[in-house]
Amino acid sequence: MSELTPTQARILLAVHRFGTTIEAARAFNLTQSAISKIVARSERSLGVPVFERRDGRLILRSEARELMASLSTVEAEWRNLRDTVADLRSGHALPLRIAATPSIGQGLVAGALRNLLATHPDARAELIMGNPVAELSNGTADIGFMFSPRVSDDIALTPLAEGAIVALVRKDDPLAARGSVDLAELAGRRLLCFDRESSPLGWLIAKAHEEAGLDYAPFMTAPYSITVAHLLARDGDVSLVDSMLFEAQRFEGLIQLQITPRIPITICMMTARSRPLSHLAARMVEIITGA
Amino acid sequence: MKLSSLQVLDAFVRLGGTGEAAQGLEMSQSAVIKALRLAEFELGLNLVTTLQGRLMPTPEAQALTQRAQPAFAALRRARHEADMMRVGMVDRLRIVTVPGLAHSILPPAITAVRRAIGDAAPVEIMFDHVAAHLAAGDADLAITYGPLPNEGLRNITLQESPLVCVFFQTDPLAARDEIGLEDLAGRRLISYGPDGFSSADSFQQALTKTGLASRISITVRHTDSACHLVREGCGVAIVDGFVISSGLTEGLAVRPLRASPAVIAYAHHREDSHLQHSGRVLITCLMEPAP
Repeated sequence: MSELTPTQARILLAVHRFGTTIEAARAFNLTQSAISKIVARSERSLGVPVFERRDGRLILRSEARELMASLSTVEAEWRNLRDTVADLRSGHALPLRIAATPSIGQGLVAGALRNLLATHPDARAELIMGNPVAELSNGTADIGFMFSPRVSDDIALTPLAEGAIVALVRKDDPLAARGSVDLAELAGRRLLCFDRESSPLGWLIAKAHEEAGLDYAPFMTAPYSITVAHLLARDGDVSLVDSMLFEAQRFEGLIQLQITPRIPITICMMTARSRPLSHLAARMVEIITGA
Repeated sequence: MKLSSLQVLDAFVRLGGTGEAAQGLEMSQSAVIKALRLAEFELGLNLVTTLQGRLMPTPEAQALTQRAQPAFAALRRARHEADMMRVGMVDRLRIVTVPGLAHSILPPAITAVRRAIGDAAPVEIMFDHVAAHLAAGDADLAITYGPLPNEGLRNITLQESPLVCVFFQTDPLAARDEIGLEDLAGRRLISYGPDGFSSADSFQQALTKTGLASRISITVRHTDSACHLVREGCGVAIVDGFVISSGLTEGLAVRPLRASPAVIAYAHHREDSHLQHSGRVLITCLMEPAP
């Protein structure tokens, strides 16, 4: 005995609704004999007669009322499943979850998202401004982006672009007209920057200070460049941030200076080695890497 | 969207690989891979990807199979209805309940119904997901430790009982008329675990109010298991007093727990559907405590 299929369920329902195989055949664009054969095959699959043949019409047997109700559920559930397939195909059902630090999220990632949405207009995306490594490890993000991260073996790193640490000062600062500044010249200034333990950029900046024989002692720390820039507008007199920040956002009254010696940083893309990417996430990776 | 392709995809996702799916479906691995590729082509979705040298389901495959479960369940229900037609059980009374009550107050009540309406009342008993079965129309009547808060469901109080303790007849506790909490100190306790669905379950509330909920060492789903464990010397069972009518406690001592809150058995049915005669008679029989 073969298994009842969703198509057989739809045809049994149609025959019940129309009362004749001719009208059911018209609705499905099939021949009447094809419908009759499917009804007979379906009854064999179910192991019970569903209809009585009376005066050329197929009448539902009284004991098959509950069966017909259950076939309606099959039809409805299969319709839902077809909608799900369409939603999956468009990227609507599975949102793309990207975790990035703000300056990467608002710059590189925003640009790539615009390209992705051009080909997938119904796609949904969730841009998470948090700790990308933690979001990726917890499975709450599909792709992560951050500067020079320190990660465990289960995360694959792809270097994407090079940048550098730059200094930010207010427009009225004597250094503002200089264009570049040496780290040593910043000694003694009130530095607003990153924590060396929790931030990879903080670690790189602290290392550069050590190599120059300087103390790294910011008077205030914040997790992201964007927060540092907002704070500098009110307090402190110099900040060290990533060079992508000004590409993503303008800050009125702040001037960017190159640092010498240069402190290079790398934007890295992160994916979990053990989790396959969704179609949208894979497409995003292609866009970002220019594949 | 072919049922057979979805079944292969479901096995692939559930069992975690093409080899495992092939084993589970008793087909060759190459046939599984071919079916998956065909499904990808038909649905326009990436369902399989290679990760660390192994074919793995994509997030789309996982989402699709998850959403296919109600469709599979609808087909199973249709087949079940056909089976019921074949064995002459179309007009059966469908009861969904929990094992504790199915093995205590329900059997004598069903016997009484069959006696009352001439042995012509086919009955189907099912367990788990009580409210969902009622809401979906899969069951006519539910018997639980309720009440169920779901809108559109009627709660009917059937019987009340205190918690009782079940132990060996040779246990020193057998000399007492009732058992106090202090008598249970140092004893290993056996009882029903929460079902995770009914937060207002009067049995669990009684256990909590008496302070015994956190003292249960062995949880069971069936009264039979609790009594067997007592016979094996695993501890003292804390169950509802309805169990006394079941004969399961034969050869064991049963004593009420002093100052126990009432455990209440409820019947539930949908307000918008007519409960058949056998169901109404069953409720009446369930309201009569066992002699």
